[in-house]
Amino acid sequence: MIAQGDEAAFGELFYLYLPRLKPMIYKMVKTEAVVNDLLQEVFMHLWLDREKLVDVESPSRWIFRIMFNRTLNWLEQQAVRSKARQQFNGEVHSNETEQQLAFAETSRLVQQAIAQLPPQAKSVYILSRQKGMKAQEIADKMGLSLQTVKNTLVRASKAIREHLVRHGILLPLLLLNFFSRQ
Amino acid sequence: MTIMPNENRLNYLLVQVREGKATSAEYGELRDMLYADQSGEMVAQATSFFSGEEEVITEDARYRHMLQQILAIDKPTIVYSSARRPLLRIAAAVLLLIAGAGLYFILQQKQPVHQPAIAQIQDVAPGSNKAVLTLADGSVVTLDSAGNRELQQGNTAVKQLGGQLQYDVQGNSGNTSYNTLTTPRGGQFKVKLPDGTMVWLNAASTIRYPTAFVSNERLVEVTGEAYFDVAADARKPFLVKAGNGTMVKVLGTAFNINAYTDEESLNTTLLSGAVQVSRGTSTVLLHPGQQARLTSKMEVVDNVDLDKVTAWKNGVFNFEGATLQEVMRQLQRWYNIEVVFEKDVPSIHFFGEVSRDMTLSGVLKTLEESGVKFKIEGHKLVVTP
Repeated sequence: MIAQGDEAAFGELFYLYLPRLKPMIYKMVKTEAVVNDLLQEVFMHLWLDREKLVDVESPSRWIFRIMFNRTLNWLEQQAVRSKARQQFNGEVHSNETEQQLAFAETSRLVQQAIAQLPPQAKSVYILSRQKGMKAQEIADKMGLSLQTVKNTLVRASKAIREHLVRHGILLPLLLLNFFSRQ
Repeated sequence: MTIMPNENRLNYLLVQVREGKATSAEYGELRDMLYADQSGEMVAQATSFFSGEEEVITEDARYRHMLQQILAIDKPTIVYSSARRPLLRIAAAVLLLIAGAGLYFILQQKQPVHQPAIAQIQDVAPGSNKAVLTLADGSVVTLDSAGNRELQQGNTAVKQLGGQLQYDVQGNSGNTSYNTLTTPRGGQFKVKLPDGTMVWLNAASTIRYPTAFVSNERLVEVTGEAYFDVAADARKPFLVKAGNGTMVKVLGTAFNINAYTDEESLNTTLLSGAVQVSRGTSTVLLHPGQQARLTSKMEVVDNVDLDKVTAWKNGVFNFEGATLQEVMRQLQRWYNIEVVFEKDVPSIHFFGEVSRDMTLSGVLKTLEESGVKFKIEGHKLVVTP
């Protein structure tokens, strides 16, 4: 359901994992100010790449995998920056503007990807994400079969995802035999 | 029992991270190791290594906002020109969009894939949690999202945690003293009043309230825009004073009041419960979904778009049916900019939603699809229809 864009289901997942991820991230970054930035980044990845939550064998493990990836990535970047700045008692600050600019950039790329969808796919996607219509409602409104609508939504998400991978926002698929749900 | 060399290495890296002793190369190595972990066993091990007690999440509103922003990121934002524009112009705007998108796509391809986005030099950051609290004795405290403090106002403890202020009455107060919370342009803040009422304050707004509600009514004063979630107390009606003698009387309810002096009317919109809006001798009783519009007279409007009215509180701009001027006024307050129109203002209407967390150029990009051109010059925005 999440893969089809069900926001309520994702919301439940968000509140379910928040209490577990937050202290784990804190144990690694050790700075309160950064934790929420990373939590947002992690859940943003999970949402934009939501197909995985359905495809993978263990959604729970996938969630932690992304959490480790974003957190360790940030720690690596920080370490590189600290070395460059030669700070010895490195106070780490949450650079709010940086976070906002990165978020704005992701948002812009998503809108770009949406604009590039073929016309029918774009209409289906708009009805689903902007008007909040369910797949059956869209099928009725546009005179398409339910299956066509579902497939279109999945393909649209994939197209957006691929666009984001191409621009270095999302992570590329490293493993091919990883995604089999028996 | 033989330990695989990989496991040893994993353990070593995990410990380095926990102790804060890892080098940048080691962080990168652990990151790649876990991402490429086929069986998932290493991820499981790392998870268990760092797991501990679950944290009880208290900042509900903050995380609700975070969730909303995340879900909004792939919501399409579309904008169109009103039908009043000559057809040719509309066609031109559409062509511009297609051409623009195509051109943009081509330009993008030249950039290397992993290069992080380079922000435009001229851009404006969105607003954030910022306010100024004026205490009873006239002293002034600056509040921002990094703050965390406590102070005393008579028998009331005032706590600030990030973007929220909270008043806890501890004993019976003698004299009533007043505090005023003021947001600048580009700011917003939340306050929990002494009776438990929650108030969201938009940019360029103020709310004046007592540190404890001692009389037989709860009276506050507002300028600008605020959203109220009033705590039920049948013995003490909640009253909001705004604008030129407008009084909103509330009985356990949620409503939004927009009293910006540069807007066409003073609007009170009811979401739930019941309110009575009055000015001078005119009084109306509102039902949920209704809005009282005050100009020189009082008008009640049914079936108002509640999403549009409370969008700001939920972290988005809702431009449904908004004129270009209305959109610019909202941008002025949130980005703290000055808007200059180069020529006559065209009659364009917009629709759609945009996140309030974007930088100015991000928002303008979506608005440009209507054919209007924007140029950011420091803190000035030049609009060329």
